[in-house]
Amino acid sequence: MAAHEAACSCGQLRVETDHDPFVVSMCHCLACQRRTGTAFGLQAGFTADQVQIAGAVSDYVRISDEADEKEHVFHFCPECGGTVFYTEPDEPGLIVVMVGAFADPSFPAPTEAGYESRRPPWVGRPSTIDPA
Amino acid sequence: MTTREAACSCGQLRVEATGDPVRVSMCHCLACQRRSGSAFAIQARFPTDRVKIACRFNDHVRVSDDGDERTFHFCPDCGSTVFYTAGEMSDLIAIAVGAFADPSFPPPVVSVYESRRHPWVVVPETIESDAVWESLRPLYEAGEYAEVADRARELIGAYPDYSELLYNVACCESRAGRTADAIDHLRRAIARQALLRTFAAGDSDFDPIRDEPAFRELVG
Repeated sequence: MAAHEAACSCGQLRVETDHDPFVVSMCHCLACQRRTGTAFGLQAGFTADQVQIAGAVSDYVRISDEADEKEHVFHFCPECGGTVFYTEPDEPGLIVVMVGAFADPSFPAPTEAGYESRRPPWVGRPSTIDPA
Repeated sequence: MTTREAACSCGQLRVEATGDPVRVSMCHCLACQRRSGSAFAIQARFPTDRVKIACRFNDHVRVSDDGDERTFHFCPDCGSTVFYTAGEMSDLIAIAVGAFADPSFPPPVVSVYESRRHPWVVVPETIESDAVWESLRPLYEAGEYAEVADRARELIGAYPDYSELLYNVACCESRAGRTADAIDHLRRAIARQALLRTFAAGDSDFDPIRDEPAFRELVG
């Protein structure tokens, strides 16, 4: 059995890995809020050779607001809409998996936070995040 | 009245809501984690007649762990779930709060499925945690209504503004024949969360006190 298994809501799209992520981060930007429907995005970084992907995907391409204007490709299940992972064409060795898709409250906690200026004021800053 | 617009990531699916939500809640259940991809979901409920929906959406139907059917409506182009509807609350639409992309949106009043909460997630004490009621739920389910009412005194003292705790305790007091306490606690619950008036109108736990003038005045 894989160490971590991620899946969309209906289970059609799955990602498996035997590795722990090299980073877990949260992002409060407005684009992450819209995509997740909640207060922040929460994602785990892996190298492409560490994960196996199974199932059909639809893609949504978004150019980041950041200075680098990097392209992000969000891969979601066409059946239930769940975005399970994203990739960056400029970084072919990177796979970023949505932590919620692991459905595992014991998954490693985030240590980095982005766009903290957009954090809703009632959302507490986790102690696992390095001081700004 | 305020009008707010929610949209998916690509902007194709848009929902307009007028007035303030009747209930904002956060949910830590595993299904909400999968759907959002994040640690918890937040949803704002609005009466259906105050919501306008434009454009195309696909549906994902899921039966919750409690046995209730939910239909999640997502954008076929970018995957974002913008709103959902539930069979047992057909006059309400739940909109995913993140879709408003507004950090100043009213915060959640309640936090549910706290047993599934990622331990690093910080939830302020001003948000009602369902873990408080969970300690009394087995007694409620066993029909030990007077026992719940007795034990709840201390909890209500510690969390005097937890509307759903007050509501549930009022249910037990109603069944235990403690009419005055039931009406007092229900009044406080409704003052903090008006939607509970609608729940009380259809809740059989209040049948023993339904004909009391004070109950009728409060619930209508």
